[in-house]
Amino acid sequence: MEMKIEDNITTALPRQQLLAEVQKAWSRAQDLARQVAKERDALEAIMENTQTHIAYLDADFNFLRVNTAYARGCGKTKAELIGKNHFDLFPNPDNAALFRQVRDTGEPIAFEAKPFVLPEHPELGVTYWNWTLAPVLNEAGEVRRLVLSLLDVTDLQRAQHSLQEYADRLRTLHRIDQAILAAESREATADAALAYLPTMIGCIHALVSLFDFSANELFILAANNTDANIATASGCRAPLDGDWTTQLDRLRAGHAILIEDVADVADQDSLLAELKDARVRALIRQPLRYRGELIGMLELGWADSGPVAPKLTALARELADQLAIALQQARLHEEIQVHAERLERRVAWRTAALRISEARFRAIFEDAPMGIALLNQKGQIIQNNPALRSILARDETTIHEQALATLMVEADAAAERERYRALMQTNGEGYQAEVRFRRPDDQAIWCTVTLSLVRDIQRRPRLAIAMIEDITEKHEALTAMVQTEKLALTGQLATSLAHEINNPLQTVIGCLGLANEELDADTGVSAYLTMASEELQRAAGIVGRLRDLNRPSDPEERERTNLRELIDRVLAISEKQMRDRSIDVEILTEGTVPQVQVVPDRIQQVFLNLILNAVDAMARGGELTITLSSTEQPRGCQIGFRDTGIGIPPDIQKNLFSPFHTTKPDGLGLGLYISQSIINDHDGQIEMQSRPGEGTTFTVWLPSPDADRST
Amino acid sequence: MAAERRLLVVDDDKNVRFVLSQALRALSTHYEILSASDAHEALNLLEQQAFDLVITDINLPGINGVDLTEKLLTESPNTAVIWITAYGCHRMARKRAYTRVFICLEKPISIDEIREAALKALRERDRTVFGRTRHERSNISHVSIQRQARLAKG
Repeated sequence: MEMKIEDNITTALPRQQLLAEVQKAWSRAQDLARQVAKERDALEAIMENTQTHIAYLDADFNFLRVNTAYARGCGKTKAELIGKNHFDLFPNPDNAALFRQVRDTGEPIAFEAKPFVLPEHPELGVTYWNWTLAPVLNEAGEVRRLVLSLLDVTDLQRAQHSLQEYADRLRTLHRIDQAILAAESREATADAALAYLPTMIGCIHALVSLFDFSANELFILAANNTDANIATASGCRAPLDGDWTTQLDRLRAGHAILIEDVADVADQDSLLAELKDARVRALIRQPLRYRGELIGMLELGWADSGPVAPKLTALARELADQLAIALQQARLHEEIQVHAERLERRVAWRTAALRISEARFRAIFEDAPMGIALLNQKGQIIQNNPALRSILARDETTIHEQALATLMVEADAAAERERYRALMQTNGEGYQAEVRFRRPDDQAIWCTVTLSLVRDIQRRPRLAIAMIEDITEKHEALTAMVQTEKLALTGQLATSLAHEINNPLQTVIGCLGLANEELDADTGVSAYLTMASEELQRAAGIVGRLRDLNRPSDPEERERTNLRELIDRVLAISEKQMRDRSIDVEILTEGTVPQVQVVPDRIQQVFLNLILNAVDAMARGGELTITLSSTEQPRGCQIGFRDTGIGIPPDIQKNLFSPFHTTKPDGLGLGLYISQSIINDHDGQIEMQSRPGEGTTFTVWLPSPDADRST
Repeated sequence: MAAERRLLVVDDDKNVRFVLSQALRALSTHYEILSASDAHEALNLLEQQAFDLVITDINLPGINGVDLTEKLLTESPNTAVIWITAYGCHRMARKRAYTRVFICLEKPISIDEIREAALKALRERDRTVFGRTRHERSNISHVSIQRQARLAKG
């Protein structure tokens, strides 16, 4: 062929020029041919080495060329494809329509991840393809050829799909998680967990139950059934019967129980039997374990039998693990709630109790018969109760913030201050002291002060509590008792003396009497003897008086006595003294004076004593008025002795009835004391009223016997 | 001449016994006055002869005056008894009633007091023992006794 062209040129053009042209053309042709071959090789290389399946088709969709990838993808050789019609080989009306559309419109089409089932390889399942169909136009703009390119994106698609699934699962789990976290009880937690499950995993039955091993039962916390036939609901209980023992062992070990078809299970428990009737087929029982301990199960059931997809079992496991923790947390939450409520109730109760207790203590403080004061560290009273104010005869204003010591008499204050200071300094155990408080009227009140510290948390002294008891009466009683003891002793002494003195006196008085009888009555000696005798009688009288101190009265000595007669007799005895001092005596009797049951001698002694006292008080004369009157309720007789004498000074009045107090130079100081003893012995009373310079009135009251006895 | 009255003075104090006996002797020359220093001696004498009146101290060594009174009244219920004491008669009120002793005197006693008490006791005794007739008789004799006493005193 090359030679032919060379010949033509040679004839037409000068040889040299022609040759050069030919050579030029030849070389160009060769270059062109080389370039075409190069491009063809490149194209071939691209086609053969791409993952993309490429087919070159004519307008009737016959294969003109295919690459190896395409042929392999179809499971055929290139030769088996070339010249064959695409739709003869792979009939597909939908695709054929698309091919025609591209050919007729001249517009290319492209699909991404279009699903396709290879007819030769159904075992591969659905495959996904990115494919394009592009028209190749001739110069006239007609579609003469078509380029089909296919890329298998099945793996990518699957990966994307599983990624999507994974993301969905995560999202669901997250939603469940959120719901669980928001739930405050176990029921709500379980409810939240089950709310999204059926739609997510396509189950018709979902249930969360807790095992109650002590009752050999399971307790359904929550259930979510899309099938109305399934009756399990929250709050139901089911016995752990059938082959539960085996199942529990599995669950305890952390393994799920997978049932492909409930209908095939031989030894069905009650729960399973019910599910079977409700057309549940495949079933998972996933253990709920917390720290290795089985607490319950998550049960999921499907309408179809067969093995449950691994991803679902995995989901169930994850959900179960999460649920177990959430349930335990909810339980703790419930417990905390219960605890908190109990605590709140207790606090409320305690508060109320405290209030009652405070009120009670306040009442004790306010109503205590003992004086109570709260003292600060300086010993000042910061709180005091009514009893204290009454003891001290002071009001709030004269007590508040006064130091306790300043309320005491001068003699006791310094010691008290020192005691208190020492107590505060040494943080000691408190003390008790007998002190005298000074009332505003200067009266001294004997009190026992008991002091104890109130300490703060660090055991440092904060305050002190002072309990103050008025013991004035006790003190006086004690003083009186001491006096009485003194007297009793005196009496005992006198008794033993009486024998020793009275016997010799007896002899002397007897001898004097006998001697006197022997004498001539006219001699002066007789008078001496009489005088000696009288003096001895007086001495005996003193011994007798001492001896009779405190002697108890003997009821047998008492006799019915007319007091008026008794007074007359006493007045007769003291008549001489009255006359000597020009004292007028007046006796006033008011009404009928009843008789009294007394020892006449003793009452006579009292009256004589009172009258002689009155006489002594009226050294320069005066008037003695004796009044007799009767009293009802209690029935008795009252005798008053009123003089117009010098009166009794207040300081002496206080101890008037105490023994051994006397204003008389030669008195024993026993007169009024014995008088009072005698009257007391007769269950009577003796009182005195006196104004210095105006006179004194003694009033004696004696009970009279009952009316029936007095008649 | 047999004694008209027999009197016994019991006291552990020798001088008291003497003074009281002397005072009583002045009542009548017909009175026989004996004395004893304790209850034993008194009871011995009482066994030998009856007494119209026993004047006894209460505080005696050994058997006291109260017990002595009880014993002698059991033996001779017609004897009159006067108690004398250095301690006070009020203490004896109950026992006095129990032993039918109606006179109790506190020492020191004047010689007139003891004489009056003795005469009173004898009079009471006679009234109990002999009844009214005898009492009246006794009264007469009592008057004569008083007169005698006064004579003796004067």
